[in-house]
Amino acid sequence: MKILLQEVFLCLFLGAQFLQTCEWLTLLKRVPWSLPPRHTGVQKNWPLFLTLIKIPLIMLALIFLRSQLLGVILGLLLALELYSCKWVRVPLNGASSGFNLLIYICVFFAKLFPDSENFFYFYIILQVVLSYFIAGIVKVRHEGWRSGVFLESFLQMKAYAADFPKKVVQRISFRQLSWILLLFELSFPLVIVQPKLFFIYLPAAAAFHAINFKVLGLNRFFWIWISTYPLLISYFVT
Amino acid sequence: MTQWFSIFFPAWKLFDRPGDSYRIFVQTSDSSPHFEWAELIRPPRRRKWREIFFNPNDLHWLYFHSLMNELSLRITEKSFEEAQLFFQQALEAHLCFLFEIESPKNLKILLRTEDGQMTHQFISDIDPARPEKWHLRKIPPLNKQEPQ
Repeated sequence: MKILLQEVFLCLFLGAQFLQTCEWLTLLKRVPWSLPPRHTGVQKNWPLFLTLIKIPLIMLALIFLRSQLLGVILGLLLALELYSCKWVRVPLNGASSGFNLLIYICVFFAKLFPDSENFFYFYIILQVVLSYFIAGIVKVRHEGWRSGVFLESFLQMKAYAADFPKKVVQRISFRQLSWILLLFELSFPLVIVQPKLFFIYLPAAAAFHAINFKVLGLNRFFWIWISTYPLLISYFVT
Repeated sequence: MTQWFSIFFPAWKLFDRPGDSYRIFVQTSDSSPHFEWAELIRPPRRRKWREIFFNPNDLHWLYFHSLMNELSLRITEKSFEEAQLFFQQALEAHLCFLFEIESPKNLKILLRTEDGQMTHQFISDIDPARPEKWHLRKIPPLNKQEPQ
């Protein structure tokens, strides 16, 4: 069961990589990435070429999911991901790109050192739990979050062009919405103490990310975090 | 080294506080005889559920805003000029695509934070005739003809 869930995690993660690569290819097609090498250290057309290579590599990783070759393929994908930081320069979808890289590194080392596989997978799980809990701690310390002002500000930020249904705010205040979010994030580590809570918290977390996509357009967060849930189930529930 | 540390030990300061949000104004030589500034606005849009799989539009906008934040940071810190120019030129290229500006010649761009505390202005470096030919140019001082 545990191995099966780990494989589901890998499939979801690689699927997320496939979707992200397709999105990035669209951007490369839209705007010619032809800055001279002295600006970026990257040769012309390399970004497009190296991004295109990722597609067959992801396919190969899915085919060789149970093979020793998976480590090599993941190593190549990790190298491409690291190299892309050279020309992308800024985070795509904020923290999701950092977490993406962390998962790549952990999975690569898990395959490289099969004896320590559990340690690397556990590190991913730890970071998932911390991602909710620390985010909650950081938020609750700000008066702006406790009063709901920050939530309202985020929804008005031009970067997101938020589509927030006004009916929701008519029924429930930003302050109440803020506290629902804060309580959810702060109480997330309870799932470690009481694994049965996973069946409440994981659907709630998935719904939270889905709402984030619908309102703010953050679809990358959705797939990266969702992909790790089978790992959480494998360690705490089974 | 710091970057590696932040990858292995993420701070998880997700949405801890709203950052700078910029209003974008452009001015082109042929936009009006008085060279008025025009604000570029992205209207809110309803996202379809299928976009949860494939959403390059929002990715592009978020990338564009990240570029604005980075450029603003470089200008404020007066950091390495080449890096600043990279962000400026990348920003211009993406701006022209997102706002469908076909001829970016003599395009002036002005970024201003929502609260009006910070303003950055620069002239486009993109030659519309040869978009592959990027060239360096000093960033001019602030124009006095700022938008209200």
